[in-house]
Amino acid sequence: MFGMSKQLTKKLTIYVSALASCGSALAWCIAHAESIKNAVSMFQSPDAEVRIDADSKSLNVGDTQDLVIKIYPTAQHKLPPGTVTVTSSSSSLKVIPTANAVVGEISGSGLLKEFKVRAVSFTDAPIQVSASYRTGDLERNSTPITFSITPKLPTLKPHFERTDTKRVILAGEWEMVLGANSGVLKLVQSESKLTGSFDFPQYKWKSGKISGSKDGNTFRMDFLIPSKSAVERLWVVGDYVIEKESGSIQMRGCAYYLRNAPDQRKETGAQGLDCSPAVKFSTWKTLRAEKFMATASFDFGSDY
Amino acid sequence: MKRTSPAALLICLLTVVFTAQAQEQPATQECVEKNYLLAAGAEVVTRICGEHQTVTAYIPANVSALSVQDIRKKGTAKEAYSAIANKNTILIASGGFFGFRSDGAEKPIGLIRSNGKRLVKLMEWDHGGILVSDRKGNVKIIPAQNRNQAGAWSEAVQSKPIIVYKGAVDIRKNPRDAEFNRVAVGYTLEGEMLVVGVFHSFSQASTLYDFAQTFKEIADSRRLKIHRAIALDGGAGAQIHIPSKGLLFGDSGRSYFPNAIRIDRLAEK
Repeated sequence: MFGMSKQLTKKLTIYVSALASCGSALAWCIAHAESIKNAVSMFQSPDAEVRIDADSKSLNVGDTQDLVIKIYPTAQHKLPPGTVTVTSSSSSLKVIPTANAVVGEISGSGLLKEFKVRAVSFTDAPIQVSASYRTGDLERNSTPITFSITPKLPTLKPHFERTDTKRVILAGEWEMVLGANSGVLKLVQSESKLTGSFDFPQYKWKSGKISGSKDGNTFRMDFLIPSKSAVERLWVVGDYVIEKESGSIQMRGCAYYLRNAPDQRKETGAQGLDCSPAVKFSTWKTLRAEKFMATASFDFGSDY
Repeated sequence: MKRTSPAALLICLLTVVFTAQAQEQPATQECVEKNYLLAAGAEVVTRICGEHQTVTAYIPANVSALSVQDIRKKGTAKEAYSAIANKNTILIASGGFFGFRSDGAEKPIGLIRSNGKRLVKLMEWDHGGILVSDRKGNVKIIPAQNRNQAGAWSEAVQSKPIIVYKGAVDIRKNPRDAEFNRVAVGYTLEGEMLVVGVFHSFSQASTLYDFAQTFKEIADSRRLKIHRAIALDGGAGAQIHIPSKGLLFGDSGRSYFPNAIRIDRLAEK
């Protein structure tokens, strides 16, 4: 009985001393964890993970989208300076402003926001865009993200009608100036008739509808004054010129503010050229006259 | 006390009602008509009713020569037409149409022959026609289907549509027909010419259909049996100028004037 007890005590002493020596080693390890990590990493190669993302992956032709590229070191090494290249699988989606950029040392994570993509033409095939990080012998690619390009929304601009006479269609959105007021003119053309609306945030009449006509290189429009159309009118008249160099079309003329005056019989002056009350209209009194100008982008068409 | 008869009472009542109604109706628009005698027996009548103006020019047979004047200028009609008037000019009126080149510059369209030279090529339009003249007093309108005959004439301007054909209005109502200033020229088989223009202060004179009716009514009122009449350029291009009287009818603004027809008194008349 005494012999067994002695044996047990001996074993226990061995276990306790073993445990004590392991515990002190563990404590030492915990205390020097960082140093150990660094020592271990000395024997590893740097590695990285590259991710690419974009808020929207469905673009219309002409749209631009920012890319967000993140680069993480996956080993304990900081990532030394390197290069990032963004690749698009189709020429319909162009990487701008450049497809390559130099990146400095990356310790935590690197965030790159200088890359964008622009949808330059329509394609119905999905387009893959990926980012590649390269430093020394290391090259890591992101999982590609997939973009789709939808056809450009038909924003109507003034253009030539595709007929033998190549008539001009004035339909579209125009920036305009009436006297000292700027605004927006939206026109719809059906045959030679013009309809649409005007918006002048700072003018006496801030907004309203228009009704008029286009003939040859001239336009004639009534800016309908709300509740006064029977007795007062804003008659906007002039001609337009197409400017090949700037790719634009410009209306130039005058706006005459008229009040009905049945006894006024004179008809004088050059409408659209003389922007003064000296221009008279039969049965209307010219209260005021101002210069009018409107500009829009002109679509010369693919045959130009 | 005198008794008032029911009949008299009714008459009084009706009188009051009709008087009230007459006052409510707008006054009839006052029209001013003027007549101008021109050289070689030609005459012009202008009728102005508020914003509307109707101009009628009658030119007797064998007294005048119609020519086509190439202009191709941007500016006012006054500037464009005064440059082509001379002392024998009876009348200058609209010519053919214009379109645009691919770079946005204006260009005349439709056949233009002047002084025996073809200046603008024929368009293969399936309607309309060609107003031709030999500058010696003979004028004719060749319908589109016979357009190749126009090459035999020294003066030609292609336009559309023909509004009077063999004495009858030859145009149908069309929902796309808009109100514009209009000018047309017609002739009788005897060689008389009738030029009619309708104008409006805000360029909304008449639809083509209504204009054709107006032309026919004016011809009928003058007992002129118009064989054919053709519309010339309308809208801002619709112009009639009578230089000898200083009369200008048509849009006063800036436009492009590709050409015009000029009717001059023949030298010996």
